[in-house]
Amino acid sequence: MSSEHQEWLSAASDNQSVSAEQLDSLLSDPQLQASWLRYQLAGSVIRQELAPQLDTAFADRFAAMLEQEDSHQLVAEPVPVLQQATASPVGGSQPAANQGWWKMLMQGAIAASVAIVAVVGVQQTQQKPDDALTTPLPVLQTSPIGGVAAPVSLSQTSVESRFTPQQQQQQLEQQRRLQELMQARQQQIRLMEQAAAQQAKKDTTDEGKGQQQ
Amino acid sequence: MSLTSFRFSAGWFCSLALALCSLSALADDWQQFERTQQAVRKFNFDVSFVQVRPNQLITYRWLHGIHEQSGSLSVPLELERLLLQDGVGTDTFRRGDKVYYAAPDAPVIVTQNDSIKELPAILFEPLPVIQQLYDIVPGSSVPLSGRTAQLLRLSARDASRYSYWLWQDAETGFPLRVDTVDEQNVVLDRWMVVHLQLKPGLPAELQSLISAQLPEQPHALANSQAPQAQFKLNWIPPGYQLLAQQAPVSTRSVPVLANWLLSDGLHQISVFVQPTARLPEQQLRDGATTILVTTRQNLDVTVIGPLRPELAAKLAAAVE
Repeated sequence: MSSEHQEWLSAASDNQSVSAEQLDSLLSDPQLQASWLRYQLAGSVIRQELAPQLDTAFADRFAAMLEQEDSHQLVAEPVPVLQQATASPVGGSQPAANQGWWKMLMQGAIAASVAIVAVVGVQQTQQKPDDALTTPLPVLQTSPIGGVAAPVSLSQTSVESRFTPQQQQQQLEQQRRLQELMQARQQQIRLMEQAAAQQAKKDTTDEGKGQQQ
Repeated sequence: MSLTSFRFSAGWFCSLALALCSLSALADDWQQFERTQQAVRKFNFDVSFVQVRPNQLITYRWLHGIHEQSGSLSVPLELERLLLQDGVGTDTFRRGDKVYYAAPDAPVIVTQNDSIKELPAILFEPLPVIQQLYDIVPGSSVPLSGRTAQLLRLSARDASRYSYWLWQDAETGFPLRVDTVDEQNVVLDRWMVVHLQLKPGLPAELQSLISAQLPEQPHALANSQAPQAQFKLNWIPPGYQLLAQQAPVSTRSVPVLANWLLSDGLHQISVFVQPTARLPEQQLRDGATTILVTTRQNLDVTVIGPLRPELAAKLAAAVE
């Protein structure tokens, strides 16, 4: 593919206009479409807009690797409880639990759960951008719209048993003070424009008085 | 614009043309942003949104409508209402340029404001103020609730300020999501519309507000002399201004010896000085708001505002 192609395609991925012929060639050429996809992806990565993605083939490859692994047979060791159960009249006619088909099923289940844990685990470690919304930071919880006395609570990390009751009392005291200050701040912000308007009005009346004198 | 664009091979002679293009594109981007500001002022709507912060998720219902008044001098009247979707809390109304706060077991408070301060300020404050503090960079479009949402990134010109990522409905311009992000693009506070219903006329729930008997005039603010003559601030974060006129602050338990309110037109920072209670120093965070308590000698200095903890500490140290 020529670099000439790449240039207009790259420009087009930055929302610049394309001609009808260029559009036609893009629609007909799968190779061009592949580079278009690559440019978009690269652009998204650079702008840090891309959600963390897990390779969709990961689970398949993992399963393939699992199949290649040697399978280890569990040594069938009779367990006393099981013996009792088989000896009882009710369970007597049941087939022993550790027979071939059951064992295979269990192995399969274990393999599947390992794969699931691996997939979930990898996804969790890759979910960085939203961490700020889920990990406990020191957080002050205030009432959503002020004026309502909602308790301010510290996050669990700071209220722990390592604090003596006296320290906990102190922290409660501090939370009460912060709650008051937060409400005072909210009140100030609500009245900010009014205070400015009132001042402006006062200034103009003062000016008027000054002119009269 | 051109900074984020991505080229495999581009002749440098193109750069002049590109720069010219990006200038006009920039104006377009601000026009896009203005669509969002217009949408929240001009549309009739019934919206639910969530406010997501660490360990906290609050859902609100937000109604807005335009009432075309009859008469020769018909000025359209803006009506707005903000209420908690779950639980009891303050019910906030706006009629024109007056905002009413109706809390349970308390008289209605009237203030003079042409927007409800509990909504994201970025949607309401004048465009020139925002343009002074932020650069606009369009991002890609993503589906949100089955609608196409265009990302507009408002990146702070000064590193001391947090940036905003705004997703607007491509069709109507209505804001669908506003993220407040720090310099590492970590989301500190997320505002997200979860239900959007644009209406042809004033929502029925706002009809009664047209003629509701509400206190007419806001209470005149007591013109108390500020007691902070003995203290002063010798440093202010870049872009902020000390507001000359402030509403008096009253607290029940510990008196406030001095307080300042700083504003950059979009955000506010509060500084309080109180006699010390000999409590441990603390640094807390409520969404994008940093709360810093420092103690020295016999004073506690508390800084509350949307700024990085280092700057909050610097501001607290600037109290003399």
